[in-house]
Formats: sequence, C-alpha cells, structure tokens
Amino acid sequence: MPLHLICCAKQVPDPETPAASFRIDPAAKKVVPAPGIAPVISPFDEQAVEVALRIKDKRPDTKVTIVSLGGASARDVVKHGLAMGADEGILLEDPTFENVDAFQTAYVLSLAVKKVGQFDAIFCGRQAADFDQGQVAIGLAELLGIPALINGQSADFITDNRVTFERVLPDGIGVFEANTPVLTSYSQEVGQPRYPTLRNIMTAARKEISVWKAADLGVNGAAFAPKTRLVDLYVPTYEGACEIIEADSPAEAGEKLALKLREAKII
Amino acid sequence: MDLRLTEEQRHIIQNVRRFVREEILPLERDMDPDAYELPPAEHERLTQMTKAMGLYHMSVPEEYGGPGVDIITRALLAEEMSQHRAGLYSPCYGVFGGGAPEQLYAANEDQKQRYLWPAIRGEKRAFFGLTEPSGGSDPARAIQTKGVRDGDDWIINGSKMFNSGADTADFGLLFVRTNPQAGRQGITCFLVDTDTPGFIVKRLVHVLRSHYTTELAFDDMRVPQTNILGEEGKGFAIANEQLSLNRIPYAAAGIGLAVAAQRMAIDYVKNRQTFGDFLANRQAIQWMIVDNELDIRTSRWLVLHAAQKAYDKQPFRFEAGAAKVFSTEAAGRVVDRSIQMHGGVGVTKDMPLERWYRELRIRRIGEGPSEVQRIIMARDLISGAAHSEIELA
Repeated sequence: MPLHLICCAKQVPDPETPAASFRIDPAAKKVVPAPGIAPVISPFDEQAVEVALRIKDKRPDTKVTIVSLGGASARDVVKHGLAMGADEGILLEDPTFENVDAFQTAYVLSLAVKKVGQFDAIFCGRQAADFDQGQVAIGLAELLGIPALINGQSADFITDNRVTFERVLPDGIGVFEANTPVLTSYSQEVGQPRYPTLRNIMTAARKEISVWKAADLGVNGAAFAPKTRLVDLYVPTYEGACEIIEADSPAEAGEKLALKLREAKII
Repeated sequence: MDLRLTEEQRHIIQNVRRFVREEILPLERDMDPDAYELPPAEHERLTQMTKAMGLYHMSVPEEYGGPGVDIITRALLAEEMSQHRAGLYSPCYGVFGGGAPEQLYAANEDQKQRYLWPAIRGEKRAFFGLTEPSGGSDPARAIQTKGVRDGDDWIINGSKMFNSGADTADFGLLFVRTNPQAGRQGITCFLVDTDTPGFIVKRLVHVLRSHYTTELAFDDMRVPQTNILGEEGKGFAIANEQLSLNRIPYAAAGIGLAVAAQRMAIDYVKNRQTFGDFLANRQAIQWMIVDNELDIRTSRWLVLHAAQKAYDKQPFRFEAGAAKVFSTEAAGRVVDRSIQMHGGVGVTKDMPLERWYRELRIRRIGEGPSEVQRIIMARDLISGAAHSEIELA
C-alpha cells in the first residue's frame, strides 16, 4: 500500500540575512523583509521534508505532499519542496490568514489535512526559524487527535501502520514507536537536506500547485479566533561599558577585579 | 521583453548560492589563501553532489547526456559560482565540471569517440592552444607554429604561450599555420594528444593569479590528418566563434567578485567607526558604494543582453565584447574601491579582496584585451553593423 506523507512548511526570512539588514516595524509589530534577500523555507521544515523524502527513497511509490500557509510568496516554499522531490503542493492563502498566531496556523493546517484525506504521517519542523514558538506541530496533532513524536532526527516505517522514530537525548538516542496516523517533528540532527536536482526543479516549475482559500477549507469564525496576542516586538539593545582596573601590581589588579566581579554577582 | 528571472532560474540560482555558502566557503576558511584546488577527497565528494544535483558539466547538451543549461542561466550561475576566494579562475574549484570544448561538438564521429566523449565522461582534459609568444590579440597574423603535410600526417613545429592546464591535459586544440600565403584562411585546428612525441611543456609561467600557465614547444611533432578538427584552413573561424561565446561567462564571473566585494564593503562600513562616526555615514564612502553598484548593474545587463542574443542565435560578437570590456574593467574598479573602504585590512590575506584585485587585472587582457575588443566594436559601429538606437529587429 503506497504511503502518503504530508509535510508542513513555513516561509521565513532567510536566517542567513546579515544582522545589519534585520529590521522590524515596531508599530506594525512585524519584521520588515530585507530588500533583495528572498525568504526561504524554514530550515527545520526543510529537514522534515528531507526525512519524508528519505522514506520515499526507500519506498518510491510513497506520495509526499507539501502544505504551506502563507502569502503568495510562500508558493516558493511549496515549489522548493516539489523541487526536492515531493509529488504535490498545496498553498493555503487567504487574506484572513495574514498575521495568524500559532493556534490559528495549526487550526487551518488541520482543516487542510482533513481536506487532503487519507495520510499516514505528518512531518513538521520543530519550530519556525522566525518566531521560534514550536507550537504548531503539537497543536496540529492535538486538533487532529493523533499522536505526536517531536524533535526527532529520523523516522521510518516498520510496517505500513507503525513508525519508529529517533530523538537525540543528552545521554543517548531515544527510540520511539507509534501507530499511524502520526505527526512527527524534526530538528537539526536530521542533517543536511538534499539539494534539489535540476530535473526536479524543471518538473516543479511546470507543476500546478493547489491554492486553497479560507472558504475552501470551511474556516469557522469562532474556532479561528487567535489564542495569543503579540504585545510588543522590539530588537533588544545591548550596552557595553569598559572599566579599567587600576592597581600598582598585577596581583592587586587581580584582587580588585575579583571583588568587582563578586559585587556584580558574576562570580 | 521580460527582465524577470524564470522560476527555474530562481531555484537553480538559490541552489548554487546555497552550495557556495554551505560547501565551498567553509572549506576555503581552512585553506591557503592562494589555493586553487581542493583536497582530492573533498573535490570528489562535492563533484558527486553536483552530479546528483544534475548540474555537473552544465554546458553539455542534453543529447550528449548533459543538463544542457542554456547560456543565459549559465551566465547567471557564473556570477554565483565565482563568489568565493578562488572563484574567478577556479569557480567552485571545478566541482561543477567544465564540459568539453564547444568546438568538439562539430567534430566528426571518430574524433567524438576519441576526444569529445572521454572529455564529457571526465576521462580526458583539454587545453586551448591559440596564443603564441609572438602575440595573442591578432592570432590570424601572429600564429607562426607551422604545419607541413607529410603523407597522411602533418609535421608541426613552433611554440605556444599562456596555455592554461596544458601541463596536465590529455589533449589540446592547437591552431597551426598550414598555408603561409592564405592569411586567416591558412590556419588549421588540430586535435593533439599531449603524449605525442615532440610535444614539450617548455616551462610553467607564473603570473599574477594564484596559479600558473604554460609555454609549449613542438619539435617535429607528427599529427595525423585525421586529427584535423573541421576543415583544413578553417581553424580561425573555429577559434573565433568560441572566443566570442566564452566572453559571456568570462564577463559574468567578474561580476560575481564585484557583488561579493560590494557586500563585504557595505557590511564593513556599517560597523567601522572613524573620528566618531560610522564610515557608512561619510559621503566619500557612500559615493564609492553607489559607484560600485552602478558598475555591477551595468555589467550584469550587458552580460545578460549578450547572453540573450547568443540564446536567440543572433549575432552577438559586439554584445559579448561590450560585456567583456565593461564588466572586467568595472569589476576591477569595484574591488579597488572595496579595498579602499576596508583600509589596511583590505590588503591582508585574511580577506579575499587582495587576490581578487590581482586576478581581476588579468581579465582586462585574457580572452581578448580591452583595446582589441574596442577595435572590433568600433569597426561594427562605424560600418553600421552595430548602432545606438533601440533595436526593433
């Protein structure tokens, strides 16, 4: 029986953007996109796609579907997943999806997964590389009523209905198993995601992706209400000050330095 | 007219940009600042990656098993692939392959079996033997290496200069005067195996770049008639077509360095303070940054215009020359200004700027010096073959 794996991927500002180009709009509480630097698939999400594709490598009849919630530019994230080797892409795009919180994202994704229909496993990144909340994956599992295995480095199917999942622990590797359908999320231990091949890039460029609006998903006003409110968004400032310890000898200077550090509760 | 990138181009560029950032730059941090090749194991590992990406030998046409990446996309990628320390003369250290010399696609079947296919498979490496100690800008007159027919063979005597890679190549395309009375119709292109008796690597010639080139000598070197590429006396046309096409990625590679230098300069001036203020707030610096950008953007459009013409199979010699002249001179200016903005640190070997500065100087001479390009372009402008009006055809 061919497997069907669904990967959820978010578009984020390129984490490699030079710090000097990072800007926020405090009034709008938004990150201002750095000009000329294209946003990218969130790296943890890309690693989740990689795990799904490793399963497809072993079982080529596996179908991998990429789902992304975002603006029109998130189409690139879907196309990136297709270029990596996924089979189908779905973009969840609607004016009402702008500025959604983690719960709303999980809610819309859950409706999309239900609309997709049969699936065996969902693959997510452990957290998005922009706001780092790490709530969508477990929220999605909760809304779907399926088990969640999070922050893993690999997964595989033992049978068509059971997966094994590995997570790096401080003192070793934890191996878990769960019945399908299951949600899994991944961390950097997955290793390097594959480079899209030229052939897949060409195929992906020609492939139509589905665009689902709020109405297509039956988004319900009450259930779609945000659960969190962004109170403030600011770039922290760090102040550096230098104090020269003056003393007649190195030993005395060391003593004075130690006292200063003690006073500052550093040592 | 559409100046936007295609979706495929955007994804391929992102792919190569990521490759440079994640694979090349980290390796380069631990290498000698003048290194021009990777350790063999790393070269092999990365070559396997580019093969898996489908971008190995990207110029090789699909019917020859290559990806057949078009000249416009190749120009864009040349700009990406050069954005590292060794990038000008060793873009990504050659792990994207080089394909085979374009002229070999016009070879006969026997020659394709002996030279083209082994080159595509990576079993044989080639060099290009045009320039001689007597000059390279006017090969039709400067070529003095002589070929004399002897039965089914030709006996070749003479010398060549600036033949990069000839000391490690398996064969070369050698341009030889076979009819002293016929001018440019008296030059023939031979496919010459480097193990042929009489083929001599006379010396390695060290130059400004972090590598060397070669001087070759031929002493009664016997080459069979069957190794003539194309027809006897038609060698100059073979060389000429190829040189025009080469100028497009040649020009694009320089832009890549300029882009990288500009990025470094902007980053630096935003952080460096002098006399109580950031360099970025000084007008002298701001003008340099803008002049850099004007140079970069003008170069890019000239290169893409030439590439578009070549892609459309229209005459593109003028456009390729314009792109080559402007972008090689402009990239030199950009790196020069970027060093100036960096001050002393800009000329240290801690940064790639000093190497780029040296190596870019060669680009105003290699593949046809600026002055010769201008002579050719002037001829076209004066004859009306090229003009300033908006092209409607």
